[in-house]
Amino acid sequence: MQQKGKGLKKTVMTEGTASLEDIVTAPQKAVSRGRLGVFAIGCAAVAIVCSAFEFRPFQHSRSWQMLCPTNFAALVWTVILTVCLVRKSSRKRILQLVPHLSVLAYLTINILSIAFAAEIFRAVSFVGKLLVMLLGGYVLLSYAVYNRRTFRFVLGLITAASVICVTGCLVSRFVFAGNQFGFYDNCYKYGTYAATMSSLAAAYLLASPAAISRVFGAVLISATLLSAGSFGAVVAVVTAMPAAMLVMGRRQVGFYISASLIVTAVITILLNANPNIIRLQEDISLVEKDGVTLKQRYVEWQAEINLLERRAITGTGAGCINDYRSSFYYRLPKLNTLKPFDQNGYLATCAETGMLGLVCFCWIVLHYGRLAVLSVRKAAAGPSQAAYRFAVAGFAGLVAVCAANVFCSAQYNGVLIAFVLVVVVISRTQQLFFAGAMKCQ
Amino acid sequence: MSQSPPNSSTQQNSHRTLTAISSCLGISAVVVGCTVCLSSPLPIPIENPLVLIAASLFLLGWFKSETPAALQKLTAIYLIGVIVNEISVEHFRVGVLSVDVTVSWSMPILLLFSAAYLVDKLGSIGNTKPPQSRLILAAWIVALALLIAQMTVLGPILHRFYGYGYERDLAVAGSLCLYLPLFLVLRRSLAGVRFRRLTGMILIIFFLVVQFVQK
Repeated sequence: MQQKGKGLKKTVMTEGTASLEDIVTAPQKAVSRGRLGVFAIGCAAVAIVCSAFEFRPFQHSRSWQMLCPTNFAALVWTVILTVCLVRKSSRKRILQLVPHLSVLAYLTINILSIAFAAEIFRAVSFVGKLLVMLLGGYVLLSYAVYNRRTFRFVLGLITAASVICVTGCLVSRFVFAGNQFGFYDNCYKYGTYAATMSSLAAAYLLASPAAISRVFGAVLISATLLSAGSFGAVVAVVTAMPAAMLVMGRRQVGFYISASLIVTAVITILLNANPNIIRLQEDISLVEKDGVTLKQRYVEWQAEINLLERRAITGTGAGCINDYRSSFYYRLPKLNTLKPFDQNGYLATCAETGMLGLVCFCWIVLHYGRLAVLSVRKAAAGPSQAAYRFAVAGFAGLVAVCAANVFCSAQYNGVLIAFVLVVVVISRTQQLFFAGAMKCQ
Repeated sequence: MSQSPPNSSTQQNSHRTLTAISSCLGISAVVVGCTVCLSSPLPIPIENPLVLIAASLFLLGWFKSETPAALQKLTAIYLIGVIVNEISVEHFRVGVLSVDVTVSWSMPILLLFSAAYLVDKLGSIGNTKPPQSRLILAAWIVALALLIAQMTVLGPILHRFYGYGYERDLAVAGSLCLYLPLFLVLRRSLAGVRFRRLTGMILIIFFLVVQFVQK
C-alpha cells in the first residue's frame, strides 16, 4: 500500500470506478453539522470516556446503572431521533444515520420475545437498554463522526478509554493486589470491554506510519493481556491481532504484534507465582478449583442448548435466561460456582430470543463483517492512509467482539457501547470513504 | 421478442389462480396450526399475549418503505414460528404398514406451507428474490454452524466427565434445522400483502382467545 503523503488531494483514477478524489475529499466538503454536531461530539466524548469507568462511583445504584453518563447520552439521542422522525424536514437526514436493517430486525425479535418472559419488567428493562444503545447510541456516534477530523477524535477517545480502563486494572491488581479489575468488579465484563476497545485502538495505532504509534499499540495489547483475568479476553485479543496482521499484510506490523504477544507470554510466565495471575489460570482451566468437577460454565452452555429443544423459536424472553435454565440441566450437576456474567453470548441470545434472534445477530455480524472486509480491501488499494487505519480498526474490533462474545455477552449494560462503537467505525468508514466506489461496483 | 396479448392474459390468469391456491394452502396451514394449539393447553405458556396481539396488528398495516415491510415479514415469520414451536411438542399416531408411527403436529403444517411454496413458485413470473436474501441465508447457516460447533466441542468434554451423550443434541439440531425450510417457505409466501393481512387477522383472533383462556 502506498504511504500517505501530505498531498491527500492528489487525484487517483482507478479503472472502472468513480474518481477517488471525490471520495477522499468528501469529508472536507461535508456540510458543517452546526450546534447539533458539536453537541453530538460532546455527548460522544462523555459516553466513550465514561464507559471506561463502568458505573463508578455509584456502581451499586440501580438507577445510576440505568442512567449512567453513557446510557444517558444514548437516551438523549434516542429522544432526538424520535423528534427528528416526527418532523419531516429532518427525517431524511437522520434516517441516513440509523443502523442497518439487521440491527432493527434483531431489536424487533427482542421486543417480540417479551411475550414469553416470566418477569416482564426484567425483559422490558433489558430490551429498553438494547434499544437505547443500539438506536440512540448508534445515531449519536454516527452523527458525531461526520468527517476525518471527528473520526480521528473519536478513535482518540476510544484509545483514551482503553488506556484508562487497562491502566486502572493493572494498578488495582498488581499495585494494590486487589480482587477488582480497575473500575470493573467483574472480570468477564472487564475482559469483553477491554479486549474490544483495545483491539480497536491498537489496530488503529499499529496501522499508523509513525513508529511511536506502533510501539504504543503494541504496549496497549500487552497491557490488556496482562490485565485480563478471563479466558475470553485473551482469546479475543489473540484472535483479533493476528487477524489484523493478516489484513494489513505488513512485516513491520507483524513484528510489533508478534513481539507484544511473546513479551506478554514471557512476563505472564515470570509472574506465575503472583496470586493475581491465578485468576486467569483458573478461568482457562476445564475444571473447578477442586480439580475434579467440570467447570460450571460448560454445563451451563449445555443447559442452554437443551433449552432449545423445547423453546426453539419462543426462547425464554430477552434478559430472562436465569428464570428457566435450571430446569434444563437434566442429569448434569448444578453447582453454585457459576460466576456472574460468565455467559456464552451466542447461546444466551438463542436461548432468550429463539433461533430467529440468533439468526438476526449473525446477520448483523455478517453485514458489518462484509463491510469491514470490503473497506479494508478498498483502503489497501487507495491512497488514503486515514481510511486504511479506520478500516483496519473496525475489522479488528469486530473480530475481537465476536471472539469475546463466546465467553461473556457483548450485550450487557456497560459493555454494549463497545459493540456499538465497532459497528459505527465500520459503517462510517464505508460511508465517508467508500460509498461512491462501492456503489459503482 | 414480444409476447402477443392473448398469451400474456392467459399467463396472468394462471398466475392469479396459482397465487390464490398458494394463499389458500398457506392460510389453511395457519388455521390448522392455531386449531391444534387451542385443542389442548399450550405447552409453552405465552406470559404476555398482548405483545403478540400488537405484533399481529402490525401485520395489517401497509408500508411504502422497504424497511417496515421487511420488519412486518419478519414479525409474521416469528408469529407463525411460535405456532409451529407450540405444536411441535404435540404428536399424533399414524399407522403405516401395520406399524404405529409418531408424527409431530408440526409436520402437516410444514407440508401445507411447502405445498403453498411450490404452487407459488410454479405460477411465479420472473425471479422475485428479495434483496439481502443471500446474507440472511448465510446468517442462518452461520447460526446453525455455531450451535453445532458448540455441541461438538461440549460433547466429548461432558462425556468424559459425566458420561453425557449426544442424544439431546441430535434432537435439538434436528428441530432447529426444520425452521430453516420454514423460514425459506414463509419468506416467499409472506411477500403477498393479502396473505400477510389474512394471517394477521387469524393470529389476532388466536392470541385474543389465548389471552381470554389464560385469564
